[in-house]
Amino acid sequence: MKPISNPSGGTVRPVEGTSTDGARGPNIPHAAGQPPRSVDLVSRGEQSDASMRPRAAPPILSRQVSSQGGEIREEAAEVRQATAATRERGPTLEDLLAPERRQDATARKERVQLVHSALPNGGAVMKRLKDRAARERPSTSAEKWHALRNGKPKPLDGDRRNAFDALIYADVMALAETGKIDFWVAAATMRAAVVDGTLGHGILAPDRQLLLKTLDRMAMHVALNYESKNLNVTSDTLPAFTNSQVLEKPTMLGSGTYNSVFAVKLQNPDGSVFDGVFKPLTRTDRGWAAGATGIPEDDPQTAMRNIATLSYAKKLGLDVIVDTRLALIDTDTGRGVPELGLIMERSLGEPAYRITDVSVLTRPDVCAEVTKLQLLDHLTGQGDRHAGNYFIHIPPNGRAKVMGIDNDQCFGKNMTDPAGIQRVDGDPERWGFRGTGLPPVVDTEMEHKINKLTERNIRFMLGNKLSEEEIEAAISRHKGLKIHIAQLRSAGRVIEPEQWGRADVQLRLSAKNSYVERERVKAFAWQAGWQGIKALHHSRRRAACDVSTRRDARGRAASARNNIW
Amino acid sequence: MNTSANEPGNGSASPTAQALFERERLPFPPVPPQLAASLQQQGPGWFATRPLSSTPYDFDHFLAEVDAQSGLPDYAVVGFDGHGINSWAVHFYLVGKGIALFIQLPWGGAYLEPEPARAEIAELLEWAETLLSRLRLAESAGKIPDGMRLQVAASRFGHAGWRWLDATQDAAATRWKPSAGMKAAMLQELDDVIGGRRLLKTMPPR
Repeated sequence: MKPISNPSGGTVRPVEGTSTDGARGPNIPHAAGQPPRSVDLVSRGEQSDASMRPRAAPPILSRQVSSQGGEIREEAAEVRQATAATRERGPTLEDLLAPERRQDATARKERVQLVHSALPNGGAVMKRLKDRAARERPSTSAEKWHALRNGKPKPLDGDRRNAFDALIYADVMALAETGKIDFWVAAATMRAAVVDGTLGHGILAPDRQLLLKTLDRMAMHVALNYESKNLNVTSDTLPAFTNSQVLEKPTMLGSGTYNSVFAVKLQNPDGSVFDGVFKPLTRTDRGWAAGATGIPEDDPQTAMRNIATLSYAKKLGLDVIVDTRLALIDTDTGRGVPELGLIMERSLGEPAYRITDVSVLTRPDVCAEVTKLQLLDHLTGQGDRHAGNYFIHIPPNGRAKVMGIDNDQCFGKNMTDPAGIQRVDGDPERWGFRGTGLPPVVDTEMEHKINKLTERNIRFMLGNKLSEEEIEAAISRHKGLKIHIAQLRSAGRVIEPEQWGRADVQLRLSAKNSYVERERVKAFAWQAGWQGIKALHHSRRRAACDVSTRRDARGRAASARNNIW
Repeated sequence: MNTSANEPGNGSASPTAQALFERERLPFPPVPPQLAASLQQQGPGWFATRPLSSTPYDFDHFLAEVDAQSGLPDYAVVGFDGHGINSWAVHFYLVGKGIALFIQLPWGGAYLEPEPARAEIAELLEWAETLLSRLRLAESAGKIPDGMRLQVAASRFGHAGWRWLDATQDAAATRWKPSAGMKAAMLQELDDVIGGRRLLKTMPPR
């Protein structure tokens, strides 16, 4: 993703007259087309943690250097002269401001070029506003006749206002397309052009005010997106992708009536294609697990919980959560403005409930990877891990990969026990959870990763994402899981990573303490009826390592595949 | 059946609900007419005949509720609910005389393969219609004791199984029969009840 410059010139200085009503605009980072604290919006994939922090925009943009070699040489000569003079007498205020002024001048030249090339004769809005000005103050004979015929301009409200907004939108889109910049940057560019007089010469003062206000509104739409979702602007929540990176028009995946989800293809910074699923954020969310664990229905912070889950998985080195980021994309639903939403990489494989080959669920690598997801869920307090929101992918001749999605019903402040995500029949406080009890076996790799994590790590990882109470609950769950793992160690139930296929290990897994066994029992039940369940237990008990017996059981299960429910 | 909590006549949302299922090219669940007349829209994609404290996605809440409240009024819930990008399902819940049926099948998620999912939904709803008609036969023949219900749970995300439960029984102590082959097993069970080969008896109060 290319860096986005401030349309007013790549500096962080407020543009004169940025507020249409005389007051300074709200302190919202994206207002006036400027990213928060002049942050370069760089896709997280291409930068280190340090580079995610807000940073000052570069003094001279590379684009300027490459396109204006002659001017740069002149500027360089000026800089040399100024430097020599400064050495003699010390810097004056003039000297100090000179580089910034040069940047402003360069930016203005660029802006003028862009506006003239994208909006010949000022564009549709200017045509309309100049026509209004001519009717109000006709100077030529033609204008006088025109004014007589059409009368004085009427206030821009109602349908006239809608038509006016549509003209502005079309002009901003033209700027965005010509300049290959995002919509909100284009809106801010047009605004700056009106402020500096590149556009809007001779239009009526009230119309000018309205135009500026409308452009403000469009540029601020991004900021309002964050505000309306009550989402903090942090390095983790800045949009990793915006409209300019959309390669194909998003296509609806969900129903649209009750679930708006889109397939999107975006361009990564390195030019590769990011195949993702985009879901616009909503302000409210309901769910039993969320409610039971203390996640507020009217401010669920869905994005933060998803991102916090990914951070936790990365910190532990558990590669079981899909890459999840924020994106600001126009899904072309007719509203014409980009929406803030979560974008997740497209999961590979099948949701666990759709695994038709039961033998997949007995593979040692699948057991290990699903157990990693389960452990992560105990740590994050994920209360809604069902077989439809995690995927199992078996690449040809490769190690199984497990990917969890929909990670929003987690990190509730009331969930302090890592085993609390287990569904318990007959208990009104637990019957809606979809998790299991703690795993009866872990491997040394898992043990090491969880024991190595400190309270300080957790605070640092979650500090800008969750509330203090939610972080405390996360610390409590981590402590609880460490105690459980210590007990497993004492009982000799910490195995080596390559031992998940051991018969005694598989026998310890049950539907109440293991996701993978839960899915396995269901799959057998659905696919093979009673015989399948009997075959499962029979084959596991008698000869868990006897490959031929297991193959026989699987064969019987497969032959009865259509006999589900 | 007991009286529904939503009285008909307040403008049933049944046509809207049916239109929504039609748009999804799914058959409409077999909601009894007297309940269909009381359907009201309660969420963007779902309808119910009574006010609910939970949304349909919370499958286990409804299962537990019917166990905990024997005097629950007859009700139906139909529609689509969920969260995230793939945790979405179609729902058909029906609680009435002799029946407590809860169906939740994946639909509306980003990763759904529509045709197999549609086929599964259609098949299960058709089965539900057959089940309800046999249940009515058994009821009209006086074969189902008062207070006894056939409980059916069919969720891909949650519980699946079936059992007979009467109002005097401790639900937590009553085992579910497994989901494997349950569709055929329940139809056979009702045939046996109608044919007198299987006698349903209420348990003596504890």
